[in-house]
Amino acid sequence: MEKQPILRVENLKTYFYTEDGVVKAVDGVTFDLYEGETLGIVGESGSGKSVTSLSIMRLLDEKGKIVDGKIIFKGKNLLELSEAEMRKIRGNEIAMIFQEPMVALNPVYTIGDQIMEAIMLHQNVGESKAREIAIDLLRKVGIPEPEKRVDQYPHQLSGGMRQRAMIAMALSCRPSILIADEPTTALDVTIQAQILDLMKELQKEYGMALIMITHDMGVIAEMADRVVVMYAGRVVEYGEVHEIFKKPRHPYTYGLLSSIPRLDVEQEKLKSIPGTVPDPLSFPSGCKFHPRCEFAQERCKNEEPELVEVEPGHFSRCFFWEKLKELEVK
Amino acid sequence: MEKKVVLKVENLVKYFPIKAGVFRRTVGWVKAVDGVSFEVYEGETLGLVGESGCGKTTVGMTLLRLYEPTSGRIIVEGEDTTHYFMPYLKARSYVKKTYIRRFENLKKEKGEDALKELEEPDKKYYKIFLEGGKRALYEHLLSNLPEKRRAFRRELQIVFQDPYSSLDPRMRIKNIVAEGIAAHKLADKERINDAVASILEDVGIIPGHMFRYPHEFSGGQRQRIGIARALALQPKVVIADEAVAALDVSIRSQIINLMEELQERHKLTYIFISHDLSVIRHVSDRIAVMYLGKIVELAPKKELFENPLHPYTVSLMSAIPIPDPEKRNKKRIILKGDVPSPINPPSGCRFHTRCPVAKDICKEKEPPLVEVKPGHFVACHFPGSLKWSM
Ligand SMILES: Nc1ncnc2c1ncn2[C@@H]1O[C@H](COP(=O)(O)OP(=O)(O)OP(=O)(O)O)[C@@H](O)[C@H]1O
Ligand SMILES: Nc1ncnc2c1ncn2[C@@H]1O[C@H](COP(=O)(O)OP(=O)(O)OP(=O)(O)O)[C@@H](O)[C@H]1O
Ligand code: SF4
Ligand SMILES: [Mg+2]
Ligand SMILES: [Mg+2]
Repeated sequence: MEKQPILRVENLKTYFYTEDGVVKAVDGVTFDLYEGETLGIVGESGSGKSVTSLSIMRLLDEKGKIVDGKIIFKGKNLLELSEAEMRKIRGNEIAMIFQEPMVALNPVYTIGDQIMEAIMLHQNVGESKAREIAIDLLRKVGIPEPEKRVDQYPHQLSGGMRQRAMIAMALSCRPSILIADEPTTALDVTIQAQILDLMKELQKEYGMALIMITHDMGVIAEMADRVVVMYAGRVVEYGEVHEIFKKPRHPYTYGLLSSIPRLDVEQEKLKSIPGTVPDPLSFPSGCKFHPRCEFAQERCKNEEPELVEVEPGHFSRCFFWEKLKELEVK
Repeated sequence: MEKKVVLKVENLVKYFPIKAGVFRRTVGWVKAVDGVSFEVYEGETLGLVGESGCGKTTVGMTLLRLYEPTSGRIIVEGEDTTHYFMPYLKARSYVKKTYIRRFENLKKEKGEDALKELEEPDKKYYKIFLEGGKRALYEHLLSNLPEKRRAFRRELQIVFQDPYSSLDPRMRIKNIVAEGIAAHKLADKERINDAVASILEDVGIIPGHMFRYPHEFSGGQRQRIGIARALALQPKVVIADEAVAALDVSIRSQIINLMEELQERHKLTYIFISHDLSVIRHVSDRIAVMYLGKIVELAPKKELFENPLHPYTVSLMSAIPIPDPEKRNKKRIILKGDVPSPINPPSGCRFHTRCPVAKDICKEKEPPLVEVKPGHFVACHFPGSLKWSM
């Protein structure tokens, strides 16, 4: 292995202490992110994708505690940094964009003010220079008439434009990592295509690593080099994107891939994963997927499988991953 | 083989007023649905697809008369239902305008010969008019309106997107499902629990859970309950508006499969509304593609995917990420700009501002929806000129 990861998440555990009990939102998540690559994180609602990214940024609310693990960025454990040191990394080295840019953007300031503030916070430039940079960035992310838009408020922009503005803001400090949490989920598909296209282009130009969080297997297939599949706060499968799609080695991934309606092929009947997404306050014993798993045996109820390397660089958290070798995903 | 038309929509228009100022004067109109026509055949699924704001929900709500149409006709099983929910005098004047005046002229000019050129339901109504005069036709169309409304409310049902807000949180599941059965007297009082149990079983909910409240169920289960509530009325047509959009991927396929099974078992007709063309492809027999309040293309599914003709349909297909990394380097058509506002839609073809193959005429003249092959309709001056293959 020549390459060194730029970010390493190791056995991360983030719990929420709520009135109803402890939510083990993220429970032992491990993955690496390499320079310049796109890592996709996919999983259903509540599987812990957002909490993972908020933990990396250390942006959890009071109820959320990181109870174990390490987040190593360029050799430093982010969990050991002071809040002041962390602030230098946030936005500067690691930036984040969200599903609903309206939430992240402040409605009472213009787009330009907000981007300029980010620029002046992290770079040693004055106001007029910052404005120039902001306009350039807006142009770069494909906002028409950036000289005019720079003085507009978030509500004056369409959803797609707002997401572009968010991207401009995130890029203003040339971060080495961009975390995008469902950046296109709220957008129409034709606008999604524009934004994904833009992100690919900018990633190439800036050479940054991208963590792309989504529940859409199509977006993963389109964007990711490697994929983390999450279920109930755990990584259940992890590997190179072609491997994951062609040779899934976890029953959940397999089920997911065969249950999506596809645009490119005619399917007779969809396969479906029985049951429901587990309740975070009472996850099942043993393998968290066992109540819904068609391969489950007695052992799965009592014992939780480890994430094991089933082929170089391809990991699965299933005792019976070899059974999946016999199945082809149609 | 003639397929039976259960529902026919002609030139449906729905404008919403934009009010402003202290006097709430109408200062403009949101042209949410602007002249939409289609037919739905018995037992089929018609998919309605298009991006946010193109008017899909408004079509559904107007069909159900949860919104009053601005204009157009809605024909259910061969009967005009457009006036069913109008106040009586308005309904009468609708009948007069739509049928009586026209038929009086027709009779003068052509007499019985006019029957040949009329289509249903006009033909049937003209016969009534010829035999019994205008009184007979008024009688046919305006009598028993309360009863007609009740039957209409039973025959057309809707399943909504949001399984959380569409069920009353204070009602037990049993009552949610039984409400319609009781209102329409579809079962004896003593037999209502049995009826509810059998419907719940039908949609995959344990009948023993009928005394629970909505919050005790997951999103997917609530959607099953929403479907049970619709089915309880033994409807002919079910409109599913984004019925699987809020669900997780693994649950989505359960509900799609369930709806397909129920369709077969109960001979249901579906209008399936979704912004997701992959879902629409899977469930539909025929597909209507909407853009800014209009249908731009309508065709049987196989035909639409083998031979998409409208540049918007082609762009939509090309924009969807395919869950197969082998296909990632396929060239996409990236449309420029945003969807324009339905308050001030572009002149001519509404798609011209984003269309990669638009020419001058597209700005000036609106292309009508024409049948270019049997069953394949498209509204474009240059159909088929934007090429792309999956
Ligand atoms: N602030 C919080 N307080 C309490 N519980 C929380 C909080 N934030 C998240 N959780 C819980 O943590 C779990 C993981 O949530 P997370 O937001 O990471 O899911 P996700 O994978 O991003 O899902 P989605 O696809 O819905 O965005 C969920 O069960 C959620 O309810
Ligand atoms: N009750 C209403 N009053 C005013 N305008 C409305 C109303 N309902 C819908 N509209 C407007 O009509 C247009 C069509 O809306 P509609 O909800 O039918 O779109 P849609 O295709 O269902 O979109 P989505 O995919 O977002 O559900 C939109 O511009 C919307 O803002
Ligand atoms: S009519 Fe013109 S603008 Fe409209 S879709 Fe066809 S080619 Fe494009
Ligand atoms: Mg999330
Ligand atoms: Mg809608």
